[in-house]
Formats: sequence, C-alpha cells, structure tokens
Amino acid sequence: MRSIKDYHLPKELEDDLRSAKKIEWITVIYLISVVVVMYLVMGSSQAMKSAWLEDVLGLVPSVAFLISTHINSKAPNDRFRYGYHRVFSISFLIGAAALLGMGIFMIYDSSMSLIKTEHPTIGNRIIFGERIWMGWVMIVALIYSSVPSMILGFKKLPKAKTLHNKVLYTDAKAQKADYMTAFAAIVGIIGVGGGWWWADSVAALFISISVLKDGINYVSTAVTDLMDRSPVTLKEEKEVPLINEIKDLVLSWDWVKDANVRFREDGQVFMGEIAVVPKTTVDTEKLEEAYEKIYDYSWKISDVVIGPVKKLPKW
Amino acid sequence: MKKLYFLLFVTFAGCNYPKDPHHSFEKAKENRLRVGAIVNPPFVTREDGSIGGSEIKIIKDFAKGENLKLKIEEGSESDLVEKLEKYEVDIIAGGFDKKSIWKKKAGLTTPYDKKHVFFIPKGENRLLQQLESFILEKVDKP
Repeated sequence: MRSIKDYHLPKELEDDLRSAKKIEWITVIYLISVVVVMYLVMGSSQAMKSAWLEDVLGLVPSVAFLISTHINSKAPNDRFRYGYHRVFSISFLIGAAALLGMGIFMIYDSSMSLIKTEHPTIGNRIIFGERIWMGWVMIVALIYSSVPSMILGFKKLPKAKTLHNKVLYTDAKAQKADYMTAFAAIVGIIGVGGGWWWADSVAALFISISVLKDGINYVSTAVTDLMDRSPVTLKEEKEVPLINEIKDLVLSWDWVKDANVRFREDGQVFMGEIAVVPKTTVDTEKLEEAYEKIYDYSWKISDVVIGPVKKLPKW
Repeated sequence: MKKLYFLLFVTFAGCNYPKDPHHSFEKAKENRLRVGAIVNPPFVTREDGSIGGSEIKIIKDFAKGENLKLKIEEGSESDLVEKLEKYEVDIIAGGFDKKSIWKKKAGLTTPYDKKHVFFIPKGENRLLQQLESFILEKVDKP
C-alpha cells in the first residue's frame, strides 16, 4: 500500500519548488545588500529607520522558507512518522511573530519621536567630488530597496499559490507591498526637506501600522493552522474545494454507502481521515484501490487513513 | 534611476531645499549668526578677553563668505546646548568629537578634520547644508 513514505511532489511542482528556492536565494542576497546600503545612508531619519527595520525583517520569511524546504525534504522516519511538513507552519509562526513584535516596537518608536518633537537632521556628504544632500541619497536607496523587491514578489506569488506554501506566500506579499513602505519613506524625507520635521515620523508611523497589521494577520493564520483548522485557500481564506471533492469521490464508489472526511493542513500538504460505511462487508482489495485513487486524485493529500465503520463518526 | 534623481534635483535645487523648520539660516541672514563658544584650546580659546581658536576661525570664514554678522557668546556646554534646543543659538563650537554625548540633543555637522564637529539645532537642515558646504568645500583638510 502506498503511504506517507512514498510521498513526493509531482514533477512539475518539483520544478516550481526549485525555481522558488532559486528566487529566494536571490532575495536573500539582494535584501542583505539593501540592508547594508540603507544602514549606511539612514542617518537620523525615523522613516529610514523603519524602512530599514522592515527590510531586515523581510529576510525572515525568505530564510524561513529556505530552511524549512530543506528540512521538509527529509523523508518521514521512526522519530517523525508524519514527516516534516509542519516545519512550514512553525517557521511561518516564527516569522509572523517577529513581524508582529517589530510592528509594535516601530509604532512605539515613531510615536515617541513625534511626541518628543524630534527634528531629523539630514546632512551632506561628498560623493564623486560633489556635495550632496543625504536626503537624495536616501531616496535613491529607497528606490533600490523597493523596485527589485516588487519584481521578486510578483515572481513568487504564482509559485506560492500552486505550491500552497504559506511562508512563500507571506514573503511574496510582503515584498509586493514593499514599494508602499519605500514610497511613504520618500514622502517623509521630501517633507523633511520642505521644512516639515514631522513628515518623517508620520511616514514612519504609517509604515509601522502596515507592518503591525501584517503581523497580526499572519500570527492568527499561523496559529489557526497549527490548531488544525480545516484547510483554507491562501488568498481568500475560504474552505479548500478539494476536501468536498474527496468526499464526493468516495461517495461515488459503488461499495460505499456513506462517508465523511476530515483534513488538516500540514505545511503545504493535507493529512486526514476518511470514514466510510461499506454497503456489504469490507473488501481489502477495494480498500487498497480506494487509497490509490485518493492519492492519485491530488498531490496535496500526503497521508490519509480510510476507516471502515458501521456508523459515521460525528466530525 | 538617474533620470529620476536628476528630475528631483532640478525640481528642488532651484528653491531653497532643504529648508529649516525654524528658519535658523534665514534669521541669521536677517539679523546675525549666533555662535555659542565653549573654551577648549586649541579649538576655542580666550586670550585677553577675546574669543579665538581654530574653530572660531572656521566660523568667521564661513560668516564672511555668507555675508553674515556674528554674535559670539561664551558659555558652558549644558547651558549652550539648552539654548541650542530652544533655537537661541545657531552654532556651537567647542572642539566636540563626532561621538559626542550631546548627539541626542544637538545636530552634528560633518567633521571638518575627520574627528571634530560643530553643533547646530536638530533638524535645521538648511543651516546645516550651508555650513557643511563650507566645511566640505572650503576648509583645508589636514
């Protein structure tokens, strides 16, 4: 009988996963360069500081994805009989918690600089023999931190959807939204140059609120996943149609009188149970065939138990 | 990216940009540049009642180039920084290190000799730009 140990992604998804990994490596290297560049030019601007922190945090989902795909590639063993799928949910939770914590800190930090009426001082430097206001340099750094990010985000999004991978999805969405952060920070710096010292802190506050909002969303998704909620789609968070399709499939077999199904998300795959009331006595040949059919129906089903019962359990 | 940079530059370079939230530089032009001096030889010295020293010379040269009248006031670090925070002085000279403990309360200029800086009121970016332009372009680097 086919079991969890024989589970592997279909070929085309393997390719998707491989290219997602490649994009994530590029992301990590790119983000490190952004973090360095932003750090060098950030000066005393609050908005720059917030944008910089966001970029540092942006590393979390990418690194989490790379680590968890690596761990997840291991086959189930005697210690981990259900495999390593949950590593995704765990790293998603860690990333989300980091985001949430940072959001709270950033809101505190930027409100404090507003309350204390801190006036950002932005100086000048000689670059290539020309004296230049660092505000301009910051804006260029912010553009560097946003445009490639957006492109990478757009590339990852469809892969995250086909793989049903939340870590990748979070990462893609956060990167897509990066231009908002950069834009807010640019407005803040231009405002400071216009003599409105508060523009910088207000921009920083906006950035922080968006980070906090993401943090709250992702933490709640991560926690509910770990709580074995029924699988939901990535974007709309509606029930995954696959679950009902499996039920219909089971009900369509002529030896089945009634059936009920229950699944949960384990990282990018689903695991669960199917209870069936057979019309006559249980035929193990038919049961074997049933397993094959279910595993063949979708790559997402990584482990399933079919339990023949007299009366359906109340799931 | 270069295009955008150029565009921004053209848009803003014409008018006074960046600006001072508290108009320190404009006021200095109208009235005079108020300098706080803390005696700390050889940067700021007092001989026979008159204030001098290498940093005062830099400021005098700067004021001359910008056509500013000067008002030099001697005081202690804490008093002058407090005045700076209230925009009652525009520049403080006193041989401050770029890692000065006053960093939180005062704006620092770029170092004129890789180590020593002047203080300006935080966020007065126009004044800072004028002074830094002078420091970066005119002051002889040792």
